[in-house]
Amino acid sequence: MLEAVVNRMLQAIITFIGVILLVFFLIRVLPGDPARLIAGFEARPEDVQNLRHLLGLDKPLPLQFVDYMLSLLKLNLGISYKTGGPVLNEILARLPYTAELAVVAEAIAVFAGVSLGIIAGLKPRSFAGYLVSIFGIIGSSFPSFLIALLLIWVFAVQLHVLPAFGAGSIQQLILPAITLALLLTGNIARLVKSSVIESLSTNHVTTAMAKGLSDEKIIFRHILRPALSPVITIIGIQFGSLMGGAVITETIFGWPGIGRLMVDSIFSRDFMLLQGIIVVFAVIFLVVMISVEILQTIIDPRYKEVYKMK
Amino acid sequence: MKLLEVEDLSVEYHLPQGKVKALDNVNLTIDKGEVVGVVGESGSGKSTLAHAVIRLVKPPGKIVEGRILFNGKNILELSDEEIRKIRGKEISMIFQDPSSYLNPVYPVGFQVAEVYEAHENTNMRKLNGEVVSLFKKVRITDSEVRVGSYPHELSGGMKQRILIAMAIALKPKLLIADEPTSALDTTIQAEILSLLNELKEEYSLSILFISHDVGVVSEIANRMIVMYAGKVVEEGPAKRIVEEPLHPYTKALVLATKTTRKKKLFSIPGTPPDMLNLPKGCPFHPRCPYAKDSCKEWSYRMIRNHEGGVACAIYENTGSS
Amino acid sequence: MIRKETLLKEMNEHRKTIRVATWKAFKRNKISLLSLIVILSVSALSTVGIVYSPYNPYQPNFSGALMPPSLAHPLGTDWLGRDILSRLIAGGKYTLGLAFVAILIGATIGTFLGLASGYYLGLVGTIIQRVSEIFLILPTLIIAALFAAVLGTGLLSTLLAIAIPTIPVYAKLVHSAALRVRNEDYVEAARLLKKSGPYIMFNHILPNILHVVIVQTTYYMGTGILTVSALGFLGLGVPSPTPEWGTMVGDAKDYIFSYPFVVFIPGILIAVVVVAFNILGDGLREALDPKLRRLL
Repeated sequence: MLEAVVNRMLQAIITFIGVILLVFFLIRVLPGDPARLIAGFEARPEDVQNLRHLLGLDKPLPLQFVDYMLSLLKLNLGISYKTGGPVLNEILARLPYTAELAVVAEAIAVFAGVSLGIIAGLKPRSFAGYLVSIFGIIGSSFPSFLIALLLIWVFAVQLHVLPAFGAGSIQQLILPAITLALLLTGNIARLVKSSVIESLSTNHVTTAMAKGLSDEKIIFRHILRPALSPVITIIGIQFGSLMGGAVITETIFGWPGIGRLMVDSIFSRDFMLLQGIIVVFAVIFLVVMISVEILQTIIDPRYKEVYKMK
Repeated sequence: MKLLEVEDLSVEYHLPQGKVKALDNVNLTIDKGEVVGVVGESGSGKSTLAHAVIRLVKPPGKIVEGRILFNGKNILELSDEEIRKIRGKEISMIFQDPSSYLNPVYPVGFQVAEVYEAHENTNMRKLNGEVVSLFKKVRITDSEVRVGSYPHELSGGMKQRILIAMAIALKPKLLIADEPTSALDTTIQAEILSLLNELKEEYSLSILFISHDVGVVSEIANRMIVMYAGKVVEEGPAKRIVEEPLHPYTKALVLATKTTRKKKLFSIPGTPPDMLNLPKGCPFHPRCPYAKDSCKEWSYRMIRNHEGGVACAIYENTGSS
Repeated sequence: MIRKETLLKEMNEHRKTIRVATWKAFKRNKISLLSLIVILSVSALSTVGIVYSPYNPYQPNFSGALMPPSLAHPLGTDWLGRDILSRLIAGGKYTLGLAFVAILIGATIGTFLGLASGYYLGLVGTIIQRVSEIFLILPTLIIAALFAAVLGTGLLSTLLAIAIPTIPVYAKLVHSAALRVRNEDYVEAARLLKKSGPYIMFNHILPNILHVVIVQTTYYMGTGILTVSALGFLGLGVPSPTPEWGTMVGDAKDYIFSYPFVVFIPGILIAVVVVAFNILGDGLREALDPKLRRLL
């Protein structure tokens, strides 16, 4: 078990280095002189040259990469081309906003998706069954900006009940969180529905019935618990689209999170910041992925066997 | 003293391709302490019968007709709560494939303890001792350790013992055993059979024992019922049926069992009937070596005597056998 | 020789039967049929849009700005007085066309790599799989934004921003599908006949996993359109005044308080087309699934 986890970590670290390599070289291939960008266009050439030297930009690319990796070990993500401050500080200032949004959205999505999925799974032809399909279509096919704008139009423009913009209050959190949640709910609901249906027809549910267990206990213990482990997997998988959605949602709602910071960094051509953000994203995704796998082994003992086999 | 009386029980499955009559007017009685075996090929309706007795027939299956009297009460008329109280306590069930009938995500001890919890409202934590002694009763070695094991860590025979422990926990009156040994090796089969025999004596259990194997059934059953295409075709003392089968289908079944034991494969000629399009008349006639033209017109009738009966045209002119 | 010809003939007959059965199964599903019609008509209009649109989609007309839908302008005009219908028709070649070409490129390269890594299991396969994983760890939109950032806004960079992240998706999908069939008898037989690797890949493995690729491509068209329009919306894709549908929504978003139709018409069109592709994908998957077909 421990060996398997260590193995998985090593794999994750290799993938992580791969991501950095990809981003690093992609950004370095493009034209443009970061030193000039930071120093400003009025700066004297020798100042630019000094800065370039200071940032290590005059070294060969592979060496720069090694430098970057070494500084990463010291949690140093480099200096923002635009503000001149440490990239890490800028990201850390914005991260809590995205985390708040993501956690609230995921919580709404899990709650709505799981409850809808259960009802629909127990009664596939009910109203809940159709709702699952509708949420599924919205989540998989609606552009996130359309969902955001529709919500703004209904709740801010027509009903005047919620603000369309800004961050800081609970009211301002609601619309962006629902936008993101709508992207995820359908997927969770569909999955829970099909796994409830599957679990209903399993033989161990027959055993539970033959024991004389009450309906509630059969549903919660023997139908839902086995149906739960795919939900955890999908939360892990969805984390990516959650962050992708956050880029759009934060931009529309003026939410000062890391997604909007990313768009800003692209517009201001602050590639050190952009690179730092993607590195942070990659770390988050990998941590989520590994946590999901560990959680799985706790919830479903069969996963331990899978590990042993590996 | 009758414990269970099944009267004219019919179960239908409504499939997209059409309607299947899985049980067609089946009659059956079990006395207290008696073991009744039900044999037949797969698709004969024997497993549906087992599930119907505690109302566990799943959609698209539906009990359409008949009565199931348990201690004089009609099980089909009970409320959901009343039937729940009977399941696991008065009538319990064990199944063919013990692996899939145990929930993979809970320790087996917990799953056995659930039976007490369902009927006696006991706190789960206090049950460990009872579960351990129950495990000893069904001869699980290292029972203190095994209560904490997960199903995937145990062998098939061990899992069947756990299902048996679950079934006998509350000393039920009737045990329904749906092919309990079919998925196991021959040696384990024998062990499970002797365990069931012992428990039967100790608890004066009545058992409804379902199997496709006449040999296995004859080792435990007092009486035997043979089913074909949803109907009872022969009924009588187990010994008599094995030694002198009457119905051509029973003869074929017995022969099949004997030759299989000798490691020679013999199966009943022809294919099992298509339940969607049963042949007219006697459903067995296309495979029957004794079939006459009149068998295509024959309508189901059981010729009875004091200890059983047979439903076959051969015996109709000569009266009962 | 005659035997071989009969065999070939039989095989073609068999394939034809499968095609007929697939179409029959597909036709039964009315909603997928409707989706196909929606996709075909929107695509036809977009093709027409390359050469013709009722009004000039770029020409401002300030006197007729922000007019609600009318006979002259069935979908109204935007804040510069441009006819929205004309812009949508002219913009289809960007939104749909870009997604289509990008997915086609990405799918072709990805399928090829996936076949190669599924057939040659050794080092080549491992490298392809590892590189794919690096791409797959990041969400599509973020990779696309990264490419857009590096390459600048515009047609070509949007094309690459969508095509490149598509490659690993197909590489992985085709790889695992190829693994499932590579040990089948017919592949084994071809190997014994000393057929070359590429020959086996394209003649024996690809035809048997093609349905997976087709279904995936239908779904991925939806994803591609969403990514093109999301990039456009953010200002990282096809730049305005080009009437790419996402760009149109992005440019119009401030009018949501006063003239919401300017925002929602292109937005809803995107949603409708993507919904159609996803439903079509579901329908195709069911129709092409050999297991489901057997049940019919």
